[in-house]
Amino acid sequence: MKNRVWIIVLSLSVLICAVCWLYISNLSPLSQIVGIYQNGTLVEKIDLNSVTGKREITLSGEYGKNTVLVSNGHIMMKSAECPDKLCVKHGELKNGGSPIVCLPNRIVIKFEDTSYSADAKTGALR
Amino acid sequence: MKTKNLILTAILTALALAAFTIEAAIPPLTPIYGIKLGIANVFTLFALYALGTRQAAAVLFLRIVLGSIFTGQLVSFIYSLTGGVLSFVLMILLKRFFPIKQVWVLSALCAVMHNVGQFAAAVLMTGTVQILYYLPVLVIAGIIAGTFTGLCAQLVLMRLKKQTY
Amino acid sequence: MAAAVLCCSACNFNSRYDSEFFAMDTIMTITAYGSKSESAVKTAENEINRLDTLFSVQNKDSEIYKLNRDKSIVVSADTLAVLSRAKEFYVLTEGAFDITTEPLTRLWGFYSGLENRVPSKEELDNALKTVGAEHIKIDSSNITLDENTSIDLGGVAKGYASAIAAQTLNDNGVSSAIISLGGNVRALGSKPDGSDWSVAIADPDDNSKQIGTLAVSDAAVVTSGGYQRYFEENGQIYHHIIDTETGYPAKSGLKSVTIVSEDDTLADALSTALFVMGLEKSSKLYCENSTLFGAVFVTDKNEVYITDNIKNSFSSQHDFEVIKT
Repeated sequence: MKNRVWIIVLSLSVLICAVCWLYISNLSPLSQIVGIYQNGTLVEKIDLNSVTGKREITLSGEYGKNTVLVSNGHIMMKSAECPDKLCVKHGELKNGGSPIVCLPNRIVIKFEDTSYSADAKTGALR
Repeated sequence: MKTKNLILTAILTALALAAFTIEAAIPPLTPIYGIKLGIANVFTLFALYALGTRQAAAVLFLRIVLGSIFTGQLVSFIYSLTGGVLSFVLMILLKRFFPIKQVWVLSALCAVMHNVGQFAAAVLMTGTVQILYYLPVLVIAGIIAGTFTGLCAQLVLMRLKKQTY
Repeated sequence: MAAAVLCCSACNFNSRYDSEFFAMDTIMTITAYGSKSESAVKTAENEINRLDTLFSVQNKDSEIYKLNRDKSIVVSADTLAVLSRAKEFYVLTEGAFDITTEPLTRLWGFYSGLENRVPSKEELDNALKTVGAEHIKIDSSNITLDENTSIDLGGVAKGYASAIAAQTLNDNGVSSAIISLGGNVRALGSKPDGSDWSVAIADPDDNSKQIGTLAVSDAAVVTSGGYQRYFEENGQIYHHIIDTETGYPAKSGLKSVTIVSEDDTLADALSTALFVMGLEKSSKLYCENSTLFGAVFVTDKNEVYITDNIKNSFSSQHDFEVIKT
């Protein structure tokens, strides 16, 4: 094959890859698998991308009930009966952000894939 | 002839090692791990076309082993070796289709193979499939870096074409 | 082929064990590597729980609770060690670090089950009379508190616990682990691949973000900030780090202080103390003790300052100033 053909082939490959890259990076973040834990044991694993419609998950602990709201790509603590309600104030779970934690009822909601964040974070929790 | 061949191989290995060490010492061009020019490959390519397959293999693998000892850790050695083996296999398989005028094409293809191989190793070692996300970027980086190093080797080879070794 | 074999052997020696549990009123995580990681982590967890039952202010069975109630008791070796170190830090920070703030913290309502409120000047002045490490007498393992003095190990307990946890892991055959006791981070060794652990520092304004990361090995990283626990009254924000000079939440011009040190307990205590002291006094303390610790400061104006002994391990999108010795 001639040089010119190769230039075209390789340029096209660069272009296709660039388009793929742009397309992938516009998709939702790397991983959307979220784990809900209570007392250190897994209650449920959810892929936020495959959720259709809205769903509520109720967890009960020593300090009453917590209601988790799940919708496509989003998860948050909708309501809690514990005194400080910090988990509700936390809002939506963000990728790369800190997990949603309810200390009184010992609930943690976090992304399962942490390969892109730091190994640990200081100062984020109470 | 044999001695001359041996000495040339040794010199090329030394040069490749020097290029590798210097490149490892300067800060990376991009924040993405694994993207670099790979100037050391100029010497592997040169050895392949000017000396032969066995000499090129010597230059490549000695450089990887020694380079990892001088600069890095076990992990980078495993990545380098995986990328190195895969791209070298591709290089000797495809060499006959590419005359000296098209060394740059071979180099670009091998660089892509190298990056893909390293990434496969990273996926296997860390067990996270999510890194495949970066594949398109690595292909682009491979084409650009490979073309550059290929052209370097090609220019030298064409200048020296009429000489005998 | 060779590469594939190498890859697999590399995977095997990296067996990893993760644990997440609740203790000391916070959430703790331990990630350890190596074939003995699981049993080592469980032993470390037990150690932390044991310390929790010694140090808790609220738990009626704890030594600290009994000490605050009876004012004089014989304590265990661990409690004695923490109390001695707390006195040491009181001297080092010229009173900025103080464990006798329990009455003040109680007045402000920063204990669970209490309502947050702004105490009157009179209440605070009364409480301040009982504050100061000179009100604690240590006579071998016999501790005596002055009347009305009460202590709270909140500013050192997690630091001490992380040191014990790291030691326990190490004693049980783990040489690579990262521990987080409610944001008190401790790196044991380096990562299995030999590189440093990366520890992010939370952005005081938005905890889901970070102001930068520190690359560390064999070190503790602890952050204190007014944003971590606070309440609002009449548009005014009152946080939980009390200045023992005034009895009010410290107003030192800082949003957070992060300490890096090989000494976990020191790191924990100094993060609180330096937050109270402010940038200027902290810099002076650093100049005199630059071998003991490094620090990262975020000021009220969102400027970032870092001490020169750790500046090379800090990476950040923000501009930062360097504090030189």
